Amino acid sequence: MGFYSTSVMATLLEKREWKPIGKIGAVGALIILAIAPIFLLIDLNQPLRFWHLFFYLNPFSAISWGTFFLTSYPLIGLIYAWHVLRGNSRPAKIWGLFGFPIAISVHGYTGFILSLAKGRAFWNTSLNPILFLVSAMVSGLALIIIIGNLRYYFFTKNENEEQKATDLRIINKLVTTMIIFLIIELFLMASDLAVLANSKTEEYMTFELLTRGDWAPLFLGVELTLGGLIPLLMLSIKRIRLHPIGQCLVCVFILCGILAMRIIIVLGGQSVMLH
Amino acid sequence: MEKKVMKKKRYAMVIDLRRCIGCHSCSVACKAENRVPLGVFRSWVKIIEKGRYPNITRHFLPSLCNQCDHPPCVINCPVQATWKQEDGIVIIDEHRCIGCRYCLSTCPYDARYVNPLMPIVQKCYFCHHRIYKGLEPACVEVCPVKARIFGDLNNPEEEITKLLSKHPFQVLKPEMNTHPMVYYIAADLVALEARGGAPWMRMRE
Repeated sequence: MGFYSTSVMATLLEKREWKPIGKIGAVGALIILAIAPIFLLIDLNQPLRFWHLFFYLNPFSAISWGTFFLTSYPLIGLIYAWHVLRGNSRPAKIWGLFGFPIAISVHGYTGFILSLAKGRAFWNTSLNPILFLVSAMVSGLALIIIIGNLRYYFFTKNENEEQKATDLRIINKLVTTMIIFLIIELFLMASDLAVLANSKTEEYMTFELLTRGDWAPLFLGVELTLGGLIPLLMLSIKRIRLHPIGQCLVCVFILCGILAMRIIIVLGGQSVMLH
Repeated sequence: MEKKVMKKKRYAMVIDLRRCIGCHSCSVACKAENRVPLGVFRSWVKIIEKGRYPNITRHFLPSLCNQCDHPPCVINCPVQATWKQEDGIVIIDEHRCIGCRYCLSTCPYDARYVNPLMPIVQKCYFCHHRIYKGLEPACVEVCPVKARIFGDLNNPEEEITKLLSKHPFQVLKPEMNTHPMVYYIAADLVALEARGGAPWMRMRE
Protein backbone atom coordinates (compact mmCIF):
# COMPACT_ATOMS: atom_id res chain seq x y z
CA MET A 1 0.00 0.00 0.00
CA GLY A 2 2.83 2.34 0.94
CA PHE A 3 4.74 1.39 -2.19
CA TYR A 4 1.74 1.79 -4.48
CA SER A 5 0.29 4.98 -3.00
CA THR A 6 3.69 6.72 -2.90
CA SER A 7 4.26 5.71 -6.50
CA VAL A 8 0.82 7.01 -7.55
CA MET A 9 1.41 10.30 -5.73
CA ALA A 10 4.78 10.63 -7.44
CA THR A 11 3.15 9.95 -10.83
CA LEU A 12 0.36 12.46 -10.21
CA LEU A 13 2.84 15.18 -9.21
CA GLU A 14 4.42 14.82 -12.67
CA LYS A 15 7.70 16.20 -11.41
CA ARG A 16 10.86 14.74 -12.87
CA GLU A 17 12.59 14.42 -9.50
CA TRP A 18 9.81 12.14 -8.20
CA LYS A 19 10.10 9.67 -11.09
CA PRO A 20 12.68 7.39 -9.44
CA ILE A 21 10.44 7.07 -6.38
CA GLY A 22 7.47 6.39 -8.65
CA LYS A 23 9.35 3.54 -10.35
CA ILE A 24 10.61 2.06 -7.07
CA GLY A 25 7.07 2.07 -5.67
CA ALA A 26 5.48 0.54 -8.76
CA VAL A 27 8.00 -2.31 -9.01
CA GLY A 28 8.11 -2.88 -5.24
CA ALA A 29 4.33 -3.21 -5.04
CA LEU A 30 4.36 -5.77 -7.86
CA ILE A 31 7.06 -7.90 -6.23
CA ILE A 32 5.20 -8.02 -2.93
CA LEU A 33 1.88 -8.74 -4.66
CA ALA A 34 3.43 -11.66 -6.49
CA ILE A 35 4.56 -13.23 -3.20
CA ALA A 36 1.54 -12.55 -0.96
CA PRO A 37 -1.07 -14.81 -2.65
CA ILE A 38 1.39 -17.73 -2.55
CA PHE A 39 1.46 -17.54 1.24
CA LEU A 40 -2.33 -17.40 1.34
CA LEU A 41 -2.59 -20.52 -0.83
CA ILE A 42 -0.06 -22.41 1.30
CA ASP A 43 -2.04 -21.53 4.43
CA LEU A 44 -5.21 -23.23 3.15
CA ASN A 45 -5.75 -26.74 4.44
CA GLN A 46 -7.09 -27.61 0.97
CA PRO A 47 -5.03 -25.43 -1.40
CA LEU A 48 -6.19 -27.29 -4.52
CA ARG A 49 -9.72 -26.13 -3.79
CA PHE A 50 -8.74 -22.45 -4.07
CA TRP A 51 -10.93 -22.12 -7.18
CA HIS A 52 -13.98 -22.56 -4.92
CA LEU A 53 -13.36 -18.96 -3.88
CA PHE A 54 -14.33 -17.79 -7.36
CA PHE A 55 -17.28 -20.08 -7.99
CA TYR A 56 -18.94 -20.37 -4.56
CA LEU A 57 -18.37 -16.82 -3.37
CA ASN A 58 -20.25 -15.41 -0.41
CA PRO A 59 -20.98 -11.67 -0.76
CA PHE A 60 -21.16 -11.37 3.04
CA SER A 61 -17.68 -12.76 3.59
CA ALA A 62 -14.67 -10.43 3.66
CA ILE A 63 -12.48 -13.23 2.27
CA SER A 64 -14.71 -13.47 -0.82
CA TRP A 65 -14.26 -9.77 -1.48
CA GLY A 66 -10.54 -10.08 -0.81
CA THR A 67 -10.27 -12.80 -3.45
CA PHE A 68 -11.36 -10.37 -6.15
CA PHE A 69 -9.30 -7.47 -4.83
CA LEU A 70 -6.18 -9.65 -4.66
CA THR A 71 -6.77 -10.90 -8.19
CA SER A 72 -7.40 -7.51 -9.78
CA TYR A 73 -4.78 -5.51 -7.84
CA PRO A 74 -1.71 -7.26 -9.34
CA LEU A 75 -3.17 -7.01 -12.86
CA ILE A 76 -3.82 -3.29 -12.51
CA GLY A 77 -0.47 -2.87 -10.76
CA LEU A 78 1.27 -4.61 -13.65
CA ILE A 79 -0.32 -2.33 -16.25
CA TYR A 80 0.41 0.72 -14.09
CA ALA A 81 4.06 -0.32 -13.53
CA TRP A 82 4.49 -0.95 -17.26
CA HIS A 83 3.30 2.57 -18.10
CA VAL A 84 5.44 4.11 -15.34
CA LEU A 85 8.58 2.34 -16.51
CA ARG A 86 7.83 3.23 -20.14
CA GLY A 87 7.34 6.89 -19.17
CA ASN A 88 3.73 7.01 -20.45
CA SER A 89 2.54 9.73 -18.12
CA ARG A 90 -1.19 9.94 -18.90
CA PRO A 91 -1.97 6.19 -18.97
CA ALA A 92 0.14 5.77 -15.80
CA LYS A 93 -1.98 8.42 -14.03
CA ILE A 94 -5.24 6.81 -15.18
CA TRP A 95 -4.25 3.29 -14.14
CA GLY A 96 -2.69 4.56 -10.94
CA LEU A 97 -5.87 6.34 -9.90
CA PHE A 98 -8.01 3.39 -11.01
CA GLY A 99 -5.94 1.02 -8.90
CA PHE A 100 -5.82 3.29 -5.86
CA PRO A 101 -9.20 2.30 -4.33
CA ILE A 102 -8.37 -1.33 -5.03
CA ALA A 103 -5.03 -0.89 -3.25
CA ILE A 104 -6.86 0.53 -0.23
CA SER A 105 -9.35 -2.36 -0.40
CA VAL A 106 -6.58 -4.99 -0.54
CA HIS A 107 -4.96 -3.65 2.59
CA GLY A 108 -8.19 -2.79 4.31
CA TYR A 109 -9.95 -6.10 3.69
CA THR A 110 -7.53 -8.00 5.92
CA GLY A 111 -8.50 -5.68 8.74
CA PHE A 112 -12.16 -6.37 7.94
CA ILE A 113 -11.57 -10.13 8.02
CA LEU A 114 -10.37 -9.74 11.59
CA SER A 115 -13.01 -7.20 12.61
CA LEU A 116 -15.85 -9.42 11.44
CA ALA A 117 -14.62 -12.44 13.44
CA LYS A 118 -16.81 -11.77 16.44
CA GLY A 119 -15.46 -14.75 18.36
CA ARG A 120 -12.10 -13.06 19.02
CA ALA A 121 -12.19 -10.08 21.37
CA PHE A 122 -8.90 -8.62 20.12
CA TRP A 123 -10.08 -8.75 16.52
CA ASN A 124 -13.67 -7.61 16.90
CA THR A 125 -13.01 -3.87 16.77
CA SER A 126 -13.78 -1.28 14.11
CA LEU A 127 -10.20 0.00 14.47
CA ASN A 128 -8.66 -2.99 12.72
CA PRO A 129 -9.27 -1.97 9.08
CA ILE A 130 -7.83 1.51 9.56
CA LEU A 131 -4.98 0.15 11.72
CA PHE A 132 -3.99 -2.26 8.96
CA LEU A 133 -4.17 0.49 6.34
CA VAL A 134 -2.06 2.88 8.36
CA SER A 135 0.52 0.23 9.25
CA ALA A 136 0.68 -0.77 5.56
CA MET A 137 1.45 2.88 4.73
CA VAL A 138 4.14 3.06 7.41
CA SER A 139 5.83 -0.18 6.35
CA GLY A 140 5.64 0.73 2.66
CA LEU A 141 7.17 4.14 3.30
CA ALA A 142 9.90 2.59 5.45
CA LEU A 143 10.83 0.19 2.64
CA ILE A 144 10.83 2.97 0.04
CA ILE A 145 13.10 5.09 2.26
CA ILE A 146 15.56 2.19 2.63
CA ILE A 147 15.53 1.44 -1.10
CA GLY A 148 15.71 5.18 -1.92
CA ASN A 149 18.81 5.59 0.24
CA LEU A 150 20.44 2.50 -1.27
CA ARG A 151 19.71 3.84 -4.76
CA TYR A 152 21.10 7.25 -3.81
CA TYR A 153 24.41 5.87 -2.55
CA PHE A 154 24.99 3.11 -5.10
CA PHE A 155 23.15 3.98 -8.31
CA THR A 156 23.33 7.77 -8.76
CA LYS A 157 26.99 8.23 -9.66
CA ASN A 158 25.97 9.76 -13.00
CA GLU A 159 23.69 12.37 -11.45
CA ASN A 160 24.85 15.94 -10.86
CA GLU A 161 24.87 17.60 -7.43
CA GLU A 162 21.54 19.35 -7.96
CA GLN A 163 19.79 16.08 -8.81
CA LYS A 164 21.37 14.35 -5.80
CA ALA A 165 20.21 17.17 -3.51
CA THR A 166 16.69 16.80 -4.93
CA ASP A 167 16.76 13.05 -4.30
CA LEU A 168 17.76 13.65 -0.67
CA ARG A 169 15.02 16.25 -0.29
CA ILE A 170 12.41 13.76 -1.53
CA ILE A 171 13.64 11.07 0.84
CA ASN A 172 13.40 13.55 3.73
CA LYS A 173 9.82 14.39 2.74
CA LEU A 174 8.99 10.68 2.77
CA VAL A 175 10.51 10.44 6.26
CA THR A 176 8.25 13.28 7.43
CA THR A 177 5.21 11.54 5.93
CA MET A 178 6.23 8.29 7.63
CA ILE A 179 6.46 10.09 11.01
CA ILE A 180 2.90 11.37 10.61
CA PHE A 181 1.54 7.91 9.80
CA LEU A 182 3.56 6.38 12.64
CA ILE A 183 2.00 8.81 15.12
CA ILE A 184 -1.46 7.92 13.77
CA GLU A 185 -0.65 4.22 14.15
CA LEU A 186 0.52 4.66 17.75
CA PHE A 187 -2.62 6.64 18.52
CA LEU A 188 -4.81 3.85 17.12
CA MET A 189 -2.92 1.26 19.18
CA ALA A 190 -3.31 3.36 22.32
CA SER A 191 -7.06 3.73 21.66
CA ASP A 192 -7.39 -0.01 21.17
CA LEU A 193 -5.53 -0.73 24.42
CA ALA A 194 -7.58 1.80 26.38
CA VAL A 195 -10.87 0.27 25.21
CA LEU A 196 -9.64 -3.30 25.82
CA ALA A 197 -8.74 -2.39 29.39
CA ASN A 198 -12.22 -1.03 30.04
CA SER A 199 -14.36 -3.54 28.19
CA LYS A 200 -15.80 -7.00 28.81
CA THR A 201 -14.06 -10.06 30.30
CA GLU A 202 -12.42 -11.47 27.18
CA GLU A 203 -11.30 -8.01 26.08
CA TYR A 204 -9.69 -7.47 29.48
CA MET A 205 -8.04 -10.91 29.27
CA THR A 206 -6.55 -9.79 25.96
CA PHE A 207 -5.29 -6.59 27.58
CA GLU A 208 -3.65 -8.64 30.35
CA LEU A 209 -2.10 -10.97 27.79
CA LEU A 210 -0.54 -8.02 25.96
CA THR A 211 0.67 -6.07 28.96
CA ARG A 212 1.46 -8.75 31.54
CA GLY A 213 1.14 -12.12 29.82
CA ASP A 214 2.96 -14.23 27.25
CA TRP A 215 2.77 -11.61 24.53
CA ALA A 216 3.98 -8.71 26.69
CA PRO A 217 7.67 -8.86 25.67
CA LEU A 218 6.81 -8.82 21.96
CA PHE A 219 4.11 -6.19 22.33
CA LEU A 220 5.76 -3.81 24.78
CA GLY A 221 9.36 -4.48 23.76
CA VAL A 222 9.21 -4.83 20.00
CA GLU A 223 5.96 -3.36 18.71
CA LEU A 224 5.61 -0.40 21.03
CA THR A 225 9.17 0.46 22.05
CA LEU A 226 11.43 -0.71 19.24
CA GLY A 227 8.88 -0.14 16.48
CA GLY A 228 7.22 3.00 17.76
CA LEU A 229 8.75 5.02 20.56
CA ILE A 230 12.45 4.59 19.73
CA PRO A 231 11.95 5.56 16.05
CA LEU A 232 9.96 8.64 17.07
CA LEU A 233 12.63 9.61 19.57
CA MET A 234 15.40 9.12 17.01
CA LEU A 235 13.53 10.99 14.30
CA SER A 236 12.97 13.93 16.62
CA ILE A 237 16.75 14.49 16.57
CA LYS A 238 17.52 16.44 13.38
CA ARG A 239 20.95 14.92 12.82
CA ILE A 240 19.53 11.40 12.82
CA ARG A 241 16.44 12.35 10.82
CA LEU A 242 18.51 13.77 7.99
CA HIS A 243 21.30 11.17 8.07
CA PRO A 244 20.84 8.19 5.70
CA ILE A 245 22.16 5.59 8.15
CA GLY A 246 19.92 6.99 10.86
CA GLN A 247 16.95 6.90 8.49
CA CYS A 248 17.65 3.31 7.43
CA LEU A 249 18.13 2.14 11.02
CA VAL A 250 14.85 3.75 12.08
CA CYS A 251 13.07 2.16 9.13
CA VAL A 252 14.40 -1.28 10.09
CA PHE A 253 13.12 -0.75 13.66
CA ILE A 254 9.74 0.30 12.29
CA LEU A 255 9.52 -2.75 10.04
CA CYS A 256 10.31 -5.01 13.01
CA GLY A 257 7.59 -3.26 14.99
CA ILE A 258 5.00 -3.71 12.28
CA LEU A 259 5.90 -7.37 11.79
CA ALA A 260 5.49 -7.82 15.56
CA MET A 261 2.13 -6.02 15.39
CA ARG A 262 0.81 -8.38 12.73
CA ILE A 263 2.05 -11.46 14.62
CA ILE A 264 0.51 -10.24 17.87
CA ILE A 265 -2.84 -9.41 16.31
CA VAL A 266 -3.15 -12.67 14.36
CA LEU A 267 -1.58 -15.18 16.76
CA GLY A 268 -2.10 -13.35 20.02
CA GLY A 269 -5.73 -12.73 19.15
CA GLN A 270 -6.27 -16.49 18.89
CA SER A 271 -4.51 -17.34 22.14
CA VAL A 272 -7.26 -16.06 24.42
CA MET A 273 -9.31 -19.04 25.59
CA LEU A 274 -12.93 -18.97 24.57
CA HIS A 275 -14.34 -21.48 27.05
CA MET B 1 -50.35 -21.85 7.27
CA GLU B 2 -50.33 -23.01 10.89
CA LYS B 3 -49.87 -26.70 9.91
CA LYS B 4 -46.85 -25.77 7.77
CA VAL B 5 -45.19 -23.99 10.71
CA MET B 6 -45.84 -26.97 13.00
CA LYS B 7 -44.28 -29.48 10.54
CA LYS B 8 -41.09 -27.46 10.24
CA LYS B 9 -38.71 -28.62 12.93
CA ARG B 10 -36.44 -26.49 15.07
CA TYR B 11 -33.99 -28.73 16.87
CA ALA B 12 -32.41 -27.63 20.12
CA MET B 13 -30.84 -29.12 23.22
CA VAL B 14 -31.22 -28.45 26.92
CA ILE B 15 -28.49 -29.48 29.34
CA ASP B 16 -29.81 -29.76 32.88
CA LEU B 17 -26.81 -29.11 35.11
CA ARG B 18 -28.72 -30.06 38.23
CA ARG B 19 -28.36 -33.64 36.98
CA CYS B 20 -24.96 -33.61 35.26
CA ILE B 21 -22.29 -35.59 37.14
CA GLY B 22 -19.38 -34.83 34.82
CA CYS B 23 -18.86 -38.48 33.83
CA HIS B 24 -17.83 -37.56 30.23
CA SER B 25 -20.00 -40.35 28.77
CA CYS B 26 -21.31 -37.81 26.26
CA SER B 27 -17.79 -36.90 25.10
CA VAL B 28 -16.84 -40.57 24.69
CA ALA B 29 -20.07 -41.47 22.90
CA CYS B 30 -19.63 -38.56 20.51
CA LYS B 31 -16.06 -39.61 19.73
CA ALA B 32 -17.15 -43.18 19.04
CA GLU B 33 -20.28 -42.31 17.03
CA ASN B 34 -18.62 -39.72 14.80
CA ARG B 35 -15.07 -41.13 14.71
CA VAL B 36 -13.62 -37.92 16.02
CA PRO B 37 -9.79 -38.14 15.95
CA LEU B 38 -7.54 -37.77 18.98
CA GLY B 39 -6.88 -34.26 20.18
CA VAL B 40 -10.09 -32.69 18.90
CA PHE B 41 -13.65 -32.73 20.23
CA ARG B 42 -17.17 -32.15 19.04
CA SER B 43 -18.50 -32.33 22.59
CA TRP B 44 -16.52 -31.83 25.77
CA VAL B 45 -17.14 -31.20 29.46
CA LYS B 46 -15.61 -28.26 31.25
CA ILE B 47 -15.01 -28.81 34.96
CA ILE B 48 -14.26 -26.07 37.46
CA GLU B 49 -13.77 -26.16 41.19
CA LYS B 50 -14.89 -23.37 43.43
CA GLY B 51 -14.11 -22.52 47.01
CA ARG B 52 -11.66 -23.80 49.59
CA TYR B 53 -11.82 -27.02 51.60
CA PRO B 54 -14.19 -27.88 53.26
CA ASN B 55 -16.48 -25.51 51.36
CA ILE B 56 -15.73 -26.73 47.88
CA THR B 57 -17.88 -27.62 44.89
CA ARG B 58 -17.37 -28.86 41.36
CA HIS B 59 -19.36 -27.52 38.45
CA PHE B 60 -19.68 -29.06 35.01
CA LEU B 61 -20.43 -27.47 31.69
CA PRO B 62 -20.92 -29.88 28.78
CA SER B 63 -20.25 -27.91 25.60
CA LEU B 64 -20.81 -28.48 21.90
CA CYS B 65 -21.74 -26.51 18.82
CA ASN B 66 -24.64 -24.29 19.73
CA GLN B 67 -26.26 -24.49 16.26
CA CYS B 68 -26.82 -20.76 16.53
CA ASP B 69 -29.79 -19.06 14.94
CA HIS B 70 -27.49 -16.24 13.77
CA PRO B 71 -24.36 -18.25 13.10
CA PRO B 72 -21.30 -16.04 12.45
CA CYS B 73 -19.54 -19.03 10.87
CA VAL B 74 -22.20 -19.25 8.15
CA ILE B 75 -22.11 -15.50 7.46
CA ASN B 76 -18.32 -15.46 7.11
CA CYS B 77 -17.58 -18.65 5.15
CA PRO B 78 -16.07 -17.45 1.82
CA VAL B 79 -17.23 -20.49 -0.17
CA GLN B 80 -20.64 -21.09 1.48
CA ALA B 81 -19.43 -24.48 2.67
CA THR B 82 -21.50 -24.15 5.81
CA TRP B 83 -25.17 -23.23 6.18
CA LYS B 84 -28.06 -23.50 8.57
CA GLN B 85 -30.70 -26.03 7.54
CA GLU B 86 -34.40 -25.40 7.99
CA ASP B 87 -34.46 -27.74 10.95
CA GLY B 88 -31.87 -25.56 12.72
CA ILE B 89 -28.78 -27.73 12.36
CA VAL B 90 -25.68 -25.97 11.03
CA ILE B 91 -24.03 -28.20 8.44
CA ILE B 92 -20.60 -28.23 6.74
CA ASP B 93 -20.11 -29.49 3.19
CA GLU B 94 -16.81 -31.32 3.58
CA HIS B 95 -16.22 -31.39 -0.17
CA ARG B 96 -16.52 -27.64 -0.54
CA CYS B 97 -14.53 -26.54 2.52
CA ILE B 98 -11.17 -25.01 1.56
CA GLY B 99 -9.78 -25.19 5.09
CA CYS B 100 -9.22 -21.46 5.50
CA ARG B 101 -10.26 -21.81 9.18
CA TYR B 102 -12.07 -18.48 9.16
CA CYS B 103 -15.12 -20.16 10.72
CA LEU B 104 -12.90 -21.43 13.55
CA SER B 105 -11.79 -17.89 14.31
CA THR B 106 -15.29 -16.51 14.00
CA CYS B 107 -16.97 -19.01 16.33
CA PRO B 108 -17.25 -17.54 19.85
CA TYR B 109 -17.62 -21.03 21.34
CA ASP B 110 -14.57 -22.81 19.88
CA ALA B 111 -16.98 -25.45 18.56
CA ARG B 112 -15.14 -26.19 15.33
CA TYR B 113 -11.88 -28.00 14.73
CA VAL B 114 -9.67 -29.05 11.85
CA ASN B 115 -9.68 -32.82 11.43
CA PRO B 116 -5.96 -33.74 11.62
CA LEU B 117 -6.50 -36.80 9.40
CA MET B 118 -8.40 -35.11 6.57
CA PRO B 119 -7.68 -31.37 6.76
CA ILE B 120 -11.17 -29.91 6.66
CA VAL B 121 -13.24 -28.25 9.33
CA GLN B 122 -15.74 -30.33 11.27
CA LYS B 123 -18.10 -29.86 14.22
CA CYS B 124 -21.11 -31.29 16.01
CA TYR B 125 -24.18 -31.83 13.79
CA PHE B 126 -26.51 -33.02 16.54
CA CYS B 127 -25.86 -36.51 15.04
CA HIS B 128 -28.22 -35.66 12.19
CA HIS B 129 -27.63 -39.12 10.67
CA ARG B 130 -29.29 -40.56 13.79
CA ILE B 131 -32.03 -37.91 14.05
CA TYR B 132 -33.24 -38.59 10.52
CA LYS B 133 -33.69 -42.25 11.53
CA GLY B 134 -35.76 -41.27 14.54
CA LEU B 135 -32.95 -41.74 17.06
CA GLU B 136 -31.49 -39.22 19.48
CA PRO B 137 -27.97 -37.81 19.27
CA ALA B 138 -25.36 -40.16 20.76
CA CYS B 139 -24.56 -37.85 23.67
CA VAL B 140 -28.24 -37.61 24.62
CA GLU B 141 -28.85 -41.36 24.42
CA VAL B 142 -25.78 -42.31 26.46
CA CYS B 143 -26.22 -39.83 29.33
CA PRO B 144 -26.81 -41.96 32.45
CA VAL B 145 -28.68 -39.22 34.31
CA LYS B 146 -30.68 -37.82 31.39
CA ALA B 147 -29.05 -34.45 31.77
CA ARG B 148 -29.24 -33.82 28.01
CA ILE B 149 -32.65 -33.33 26.49
CA PHE B 150 -33.00 -33.00 22.74
CA GLY B 151 -36.05 -32.15 20.73
CA ASP B 152 -38.08 -29.92 18.47
CA LEU B 153 -38.84 -26.48 19.90
CA ASN B 154 -41.75 -26.11 17.48
CA ASN B 155 -43.56 -29.00 19.17
CA PRO B 156 -45.19 -27.87 22.45
CA GLU B 157 -45.57 -31.51 23.55
CA GLU B 158 -41.82 -32.18 23.55
CA GLU B 159 -40.00 -32.39 26.87
CA ILE B 160 -37.52 -29.72 25.78
CA THR B 161 -40.26 -27.17 25.16
CA LYS B 162 -41.85 -27.86 28.52
CA LEU B 163 -38.54 -27.60 30.33
CA LEU B 164 -37.69 -24.25 28.77
CA SER B 165 -41.10 -22.84 29.54
CA LYS B 166 -40.92 -23.90 33.21
CA HIS B 167 -37.33 -23.16 34.20
CA PRO B 168 -34.97 -20.20 33.97
CA PHE B 169 -32.21 -21.04 31.54
CA GLN B 170 -28.91 -19.61 30.37
CA VAL B 171 -26.98 -19.66 27.10
CA LEU B 172 -23.31 -19.18 26.42
CA LYS B 173 -22.30 -15.59 25.63
CA PRO B 174 -25.74 -14.07 24.95
CA GLU B 175 -24.06 -10.71 24.24
CA MET B 176 -22.64 -12.18 21.01
CA ASN B 177 -26.12 -12.03 19.43
CA THR B 178 -25.67 -15.53 18.00
CA HIS B 179 -28.94 -16.88 19.52
CA PRO B 180 -27.58 -20.29 20.55
CA MET B 181 -29.89 -23.29 20.45
CA VAL B 182 -28.17 -25.07 23.36
CA TYR B 183 -29.69 -24.05 26.67
CA TYR B 184 -28.44 -24.66 30.19
CA ILE B 185 -30.47 -25.01 33.36
CA ALA B 186 -28.66 -24.08 36.59
CA ALA B 187 -25.37 -23.17 34.94
CA ASP B 188 -22.78 -21.67 37.25
CA LEU B 189 -21.62 -18.18 36.34
CA VAL B 190 -17.97 -19.06 36.91
CA ALA B 191 -18.27 -22.09 34.62
CA LEU B 192 -19.92 -19.97 31.92
CA GLU B 193 -17.04 -17.49 31.92
CA ALA B 194 -14.04 -18.09 29.67
CA ARG B 195 -10.97 -19.57 31.32
CA GLY B 196 -12.90 -20.94 34.25
CA GLY B 197 -13.70 -17.72 35.95
CA ALA B 198 -13.52 -13.98 35.81
CA PRO B 199 -10.51 -12.39 37.54
CA TRP B 200 -12.84 -10.73 40.05
CA MET B 201 -14.13 -14.16 41.09
CA ARG B 202 -10.63 -15.54 41.64
CA MET B 203 -9.74 -12.57 43.82
CA ARG B 204 -12.65 -13.31 46.12
CA GLU B 205 -11.58 -16.93 46.52
